[in-house]
Amino acid sequence: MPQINYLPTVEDAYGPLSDAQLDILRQQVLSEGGDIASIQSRFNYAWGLIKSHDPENQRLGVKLLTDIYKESPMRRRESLYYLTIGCYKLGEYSMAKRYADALYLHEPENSQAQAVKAMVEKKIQTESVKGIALLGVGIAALATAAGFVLRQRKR
Amino acid sequence: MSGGSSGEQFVQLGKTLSTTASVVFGSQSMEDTILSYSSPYKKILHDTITTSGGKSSLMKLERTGRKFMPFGRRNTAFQDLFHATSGKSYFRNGFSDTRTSFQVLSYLSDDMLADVPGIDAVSMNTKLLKEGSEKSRKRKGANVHKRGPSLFQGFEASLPVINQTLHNHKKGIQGRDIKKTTGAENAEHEPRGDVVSEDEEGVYDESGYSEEFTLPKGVNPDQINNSYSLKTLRNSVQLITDNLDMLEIQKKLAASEIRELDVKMERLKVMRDLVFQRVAKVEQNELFLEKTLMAVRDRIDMIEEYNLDKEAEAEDDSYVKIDSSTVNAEASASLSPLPDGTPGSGDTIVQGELPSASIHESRIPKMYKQLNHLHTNEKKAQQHELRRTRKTYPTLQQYYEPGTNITSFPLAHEESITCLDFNMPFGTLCSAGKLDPTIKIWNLSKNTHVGSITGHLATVSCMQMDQYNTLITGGRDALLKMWDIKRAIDGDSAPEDVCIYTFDSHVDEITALSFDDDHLVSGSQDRTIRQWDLNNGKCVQTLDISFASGGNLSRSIYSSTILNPDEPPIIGALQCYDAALATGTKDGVVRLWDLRSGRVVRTLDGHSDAITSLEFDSLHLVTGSLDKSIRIWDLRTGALADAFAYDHSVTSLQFDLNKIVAANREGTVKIYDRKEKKHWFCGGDEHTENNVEYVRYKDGYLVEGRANGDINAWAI
Repeated sequence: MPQINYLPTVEDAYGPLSDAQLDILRQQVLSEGGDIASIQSRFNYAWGLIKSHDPENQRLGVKLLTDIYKESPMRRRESLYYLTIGCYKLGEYSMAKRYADALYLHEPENSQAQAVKAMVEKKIQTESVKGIALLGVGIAALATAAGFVLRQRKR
Repeated sequence: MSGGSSGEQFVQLGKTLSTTASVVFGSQSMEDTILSYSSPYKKILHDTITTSGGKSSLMKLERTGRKFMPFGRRNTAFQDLFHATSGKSYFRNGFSDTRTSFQVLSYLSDDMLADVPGIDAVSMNTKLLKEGSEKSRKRKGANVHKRGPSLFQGFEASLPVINQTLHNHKKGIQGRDIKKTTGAENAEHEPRGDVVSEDEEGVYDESGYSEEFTLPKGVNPDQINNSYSLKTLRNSVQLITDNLDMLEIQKKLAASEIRELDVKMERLKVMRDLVFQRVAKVEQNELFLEKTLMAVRDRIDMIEEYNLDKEAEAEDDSYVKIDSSTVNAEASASLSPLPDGTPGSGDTIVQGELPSASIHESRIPKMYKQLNHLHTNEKKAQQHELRRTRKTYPTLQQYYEPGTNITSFPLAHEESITCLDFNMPFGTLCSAGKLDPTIKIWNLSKNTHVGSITGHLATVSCMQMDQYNTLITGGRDALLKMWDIKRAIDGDSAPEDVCIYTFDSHVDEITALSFDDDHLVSGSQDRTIRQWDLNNGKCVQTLDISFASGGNLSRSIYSSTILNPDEPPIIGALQCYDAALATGTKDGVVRLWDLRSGRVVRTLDGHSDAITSLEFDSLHLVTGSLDKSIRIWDLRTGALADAFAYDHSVTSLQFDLNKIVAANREGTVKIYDRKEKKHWFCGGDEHTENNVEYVRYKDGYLVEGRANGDINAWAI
């Protein structure tokens, strides 16, 4: 069994739990009174949700994390990190960037904060490159089509 | 070279694009947020804007507006963890798609993002850094110990527990299946060096280890004992150490959870204290207003009685006019001094309004002052009794921890307390002690001695108070006296005014008395029970109990208690209600009388010694006796419903639906919880010499008097 790191890596957010495990985590939260359950129980459920494949579940997970963030000032640093990863996995890169920036602002020296920020930025970059490429292709296609039409007219 | 520069340019382009993209994304999410943050109305607006259908927006608004109606029933517009089985159902609502509502619900404002406490910023910094660098190293205990484990660590540590429960749950049914999934799961994020659990039974040991705990997988006790391979053993050491570390984290987690709960409890306790103070304050205010109300009504009574009403021109013979004018006077008098909503004419409303009022209705005293004006007509009497109904009733004692000392009057009397009574919780208490004819009056809410009553010639041996200011006492001087406590407290009236009436017919010590609305019943050492009419002060009936004497009763007739102070009184206790009277006598027999015929209708045998205390309600009769037992009788059948005994003779008791409270000459008050069938005791040291002699109990408020003259009040 390996050591448990202080903070998860991005890979930790993948690899879903079984439904039964998730249900236990949920029941734990409910048995402690839903929104007034202890921070740890709610985090467990949230992280379990984030690990799942279903984006809807991941969203609920992120929502719970924001609740934790709001409620527990002492956990905010950590929570920012989890939030970044959660949003990253969910594909909400703009939100992930916000959290990553906030985290970096408070922890400029931290390697993990830097890493996660870099990761998010890289992702956004590639996404936008993809978007640009797509846009380029679209323009090209349009241009070709237009040219084709024009040529047709000329003749 | 050209390739490099083009690559650089590409990166540059990408960067600018990424920033613009993030701005676009950000603005989009912001827009969502702004449009539909927290307000359902804005959600509708947002809905209308984003999904621009063919219908007019007005219609849409109407449609969505209707959705507001079944809020409670359909749960469409708010999120609830309890009902949401998955993320989808959690975010689903009538107004926007799940992604939007997710973004709305999990939006953190910039202020909040910026507000990250920096108290332990340094330690956190180093820790996060250290964690990064320590990833390669084996030991990580140090920083975990410095501060609690992170939430993620908590999660990882609780996973094995979950798996264990799952495993235990479904072991019989489909254990194999679950095992596989969880095993695979574990292997995925906690990769192990070995194969996952080749043999489950191998983990459970045969060599005396506890069944409950298991060794980490891959560690086999047999293998440890028999192996000569250092590598295997070292591996085992590593596995076990890791497991220990994990357990340590679990422990820390539990500890931090306990701390969290402690903080919560502390906070709740503070809140409770504050609210408690509020209740106390309000009740003090209520008491004050009630007192004022009472004074106003007394004044009205006086004006009515002597026809001093200025507005009334009519003479005595026209009752109608007087009535209407008194109503006016009442209304004006009660409205002017009490501006904050204590309607004086609301007497009739009070009855239906307050649930507690019904309790007091049964005990409305008609006799107040009626001895002075005996010719009150029916209508006036009715008005009177309504006016005497209290509007509010103290409840603060319920919010004390059971067994809490509310107040104490140390050495209230120089000798042992013989009797005491109080009108209501936090109201007025009257007490009497041995060898002291003075009755002392105490204010239970201010914890002060407010007055004394003199008039008896010998020790006061029994007394009863009603809900208001009437006290009737009986003493060794064979006199029964009726007092107005309020006059005694005010102190400006002459001592002879305080005593409203003296009932003087008995020829020996009064040992027990009881009164209700119209009648007073007293029992004396002269072997008679007398019934008095409270409206005119006449003795209506005399019951001779020497005919009923059996056994030791006849012998004790001539042994006066003056010669033998420890001799129990012939009539130890009695209580009347309407035409019913119950007496407990020295022969240990409880008799139920019909006061209309003056005959015994039923006798309850069982006690083997003198009865000292007795009380009944509509269902049960409870008696306490020198034979150390308390018996609870069913009044309908006359059979014994319950009985229990203490170590010493019961001298005093009182009960309500919840509890039986008894004094038995020990250091504590004995309490029997009738609902939970539980015995407990309250108040002070069990082994003190200072025994409890007398108790009175009303609505969870208990007052006891002790052998050295102390008086204490407790919440139970």
